[in-house]
Amino acid sequence: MERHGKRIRSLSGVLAVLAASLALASCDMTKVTDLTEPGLVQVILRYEMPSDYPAQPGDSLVVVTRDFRLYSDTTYAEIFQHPDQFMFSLDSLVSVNLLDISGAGAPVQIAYSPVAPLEYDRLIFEMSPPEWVKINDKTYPLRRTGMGAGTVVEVVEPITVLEGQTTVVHLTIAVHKALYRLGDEFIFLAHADSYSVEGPQ
Amino acid sequence: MSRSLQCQMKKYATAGLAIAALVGLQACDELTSLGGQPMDNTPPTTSIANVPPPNDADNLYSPLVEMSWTGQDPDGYISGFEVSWVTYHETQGDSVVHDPFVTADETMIIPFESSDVVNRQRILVRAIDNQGAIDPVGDTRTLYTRQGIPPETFLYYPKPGTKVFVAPESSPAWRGVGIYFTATDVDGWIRGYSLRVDDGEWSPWQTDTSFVITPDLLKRPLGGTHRVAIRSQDDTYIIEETPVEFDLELIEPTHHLDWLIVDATLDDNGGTERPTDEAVDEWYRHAMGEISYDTWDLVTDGPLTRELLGQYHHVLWHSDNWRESPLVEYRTILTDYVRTGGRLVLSGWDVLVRFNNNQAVADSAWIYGDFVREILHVSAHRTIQDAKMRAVATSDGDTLEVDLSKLFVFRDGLYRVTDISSPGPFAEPFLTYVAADEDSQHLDGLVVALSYQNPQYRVVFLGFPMSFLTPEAGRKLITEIRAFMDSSFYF
Repeated sequence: MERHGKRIRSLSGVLAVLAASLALASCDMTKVTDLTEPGLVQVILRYEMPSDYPAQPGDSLVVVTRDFRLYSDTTYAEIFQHPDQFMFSLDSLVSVNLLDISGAGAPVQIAYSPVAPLEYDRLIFEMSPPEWVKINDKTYPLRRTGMGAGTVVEVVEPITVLEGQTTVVHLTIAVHKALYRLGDEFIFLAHADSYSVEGPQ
Repeated sequence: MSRSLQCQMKKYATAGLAIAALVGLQACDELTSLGGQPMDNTPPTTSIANVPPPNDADNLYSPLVEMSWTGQDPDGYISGFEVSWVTYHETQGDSVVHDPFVTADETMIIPFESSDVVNRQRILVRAIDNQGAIDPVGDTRTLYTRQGIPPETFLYYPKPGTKVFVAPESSPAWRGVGIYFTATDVDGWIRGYSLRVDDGEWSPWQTDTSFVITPDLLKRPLGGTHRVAIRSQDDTYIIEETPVEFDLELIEPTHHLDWLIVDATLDDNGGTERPTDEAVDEWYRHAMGEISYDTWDLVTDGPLTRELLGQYHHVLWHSDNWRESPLVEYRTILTDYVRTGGRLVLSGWDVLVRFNNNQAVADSAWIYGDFVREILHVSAHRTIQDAKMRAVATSDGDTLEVDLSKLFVFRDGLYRVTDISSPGPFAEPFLTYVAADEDSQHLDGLVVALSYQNPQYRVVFLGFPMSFLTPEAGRKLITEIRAFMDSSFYF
């Protein structure tokens, strides 16, 4: 009887461990982490133009930036204009006049909001140009390139976001490269000529 | 019940629960399924309709044959058909295999390749069911088709003997040498066109009836004679055996000389408002000042050629007599010259009206383009009949006086002046109207001349005869024009 008892005890122990391990393996359980708050991402845009660029006060090339996404492979997090913007259900739109010579070189915050703390691999957003550009009191038609693809800015760079810390993405666009003449119209090609990531801190 | 037995029963119960949990977890992942043995999918069957009925070599069909087929699937439905055929050239003894393709249609017009006198067509159709199974046998039909008549290509432009300017590389202003053609097929329609330059490769088939020969397709040197061939293919895939071939005479402009004045002003009797050729020449001689230039009189020197025009960097064309001007006939040469980097100054009376009223201009615009809109960059204009233009003003505010001594005394200023009411894109006002009196002040500031530049060429168009300005004003005007031509522009 004593020998049977030992065998039964050992058998029941093995079965219990086996059942528990199989149950854990077969169920997709939510992973529990210790995270308690998101990180912040700020996107800063600067535009620049050469000293001989023929821009004058009153010139206008107003681009609209929107739909900011930080990608980690195929997963993405959206960045809004303000940290509390999601509370107002507003679309995130920031307009920048790239021909405003007074603002050339100055930082413009185009996105700033909390995102999940992760290692992201690129930033993608849309920079939509207007249909017309005004240069030296004259208005010219403006065409986009690539059936809309020319309005997407992609920054392929590791962007680390840590809990409770702020990561800043600095972008610079050279206006004379983004806006050029082809025949009797202007062409706009959205892109970032240079970029850097500051932080997280 | 003893205590040890109770303990053992608890252990059994624990083990039993564990096994039950294990079995339960496994069971929840299993798919529910019906019992029994599943049936294998049965492939479909195919049948080709007996229309048209089979024929023989003595009773040939047209190469275009409308055929129908159907399929049956006992355990599903038909999702499509795989169609293929082989053409046997009965006289030539060879064959052509048409690659299989899948279609959902049950009726199609088949363009059988029929380049031989007698062509035997063997078509195979195999039905495909909803599970992707293909009829392993299919159905076949054999038909005989007669020889298709090959298409014939015709060249629209350039006409034989035409010479065309060529630039070292394509640009937004000049993409290349445009070739325009068409073709006819008496027993069908044209499937496509292909072109070959200088014995190079035939271009891919295209449906467009124009082709732009870019410089990279041409053998060096660019200037000289190049051989071009165009062929067409009809709906039965018959390719024209003898393509249209022609010599393309290209001239590479050198622009090594500075200015050429083309005198297209009609020689008149010397009366008021009817200046002689000598008087006009003298006016331009004074206006040009120190600028070195050559002249070409269309009446005394003959027609202007591309060989001559291409040597000059700047061409000043004047048609300063409103009674007649050959300008319209030279629109193609001037278009060609400007697009390949030449710089044009055009002065004249009623210039734009001549273009508007010319049917040949309208009929050929699809080949040569719209000279007024695309070269001069005038989007809209009208003629100011009032004889009230006392002077013109430059963008700097200088006033250039009209020579009233050249007009009848009852006139207050120049008449039949073109008001460029809408300059085209990137065109700038160059001169504006200065009215003679208060009654005509509403004309002040109207644009009567414009300038246009792009990285390839520059144009100044004056909507009035510049030789009716005073000699001093003419000198200033030429200085202004030269300054524009020599300026650098960011865009």
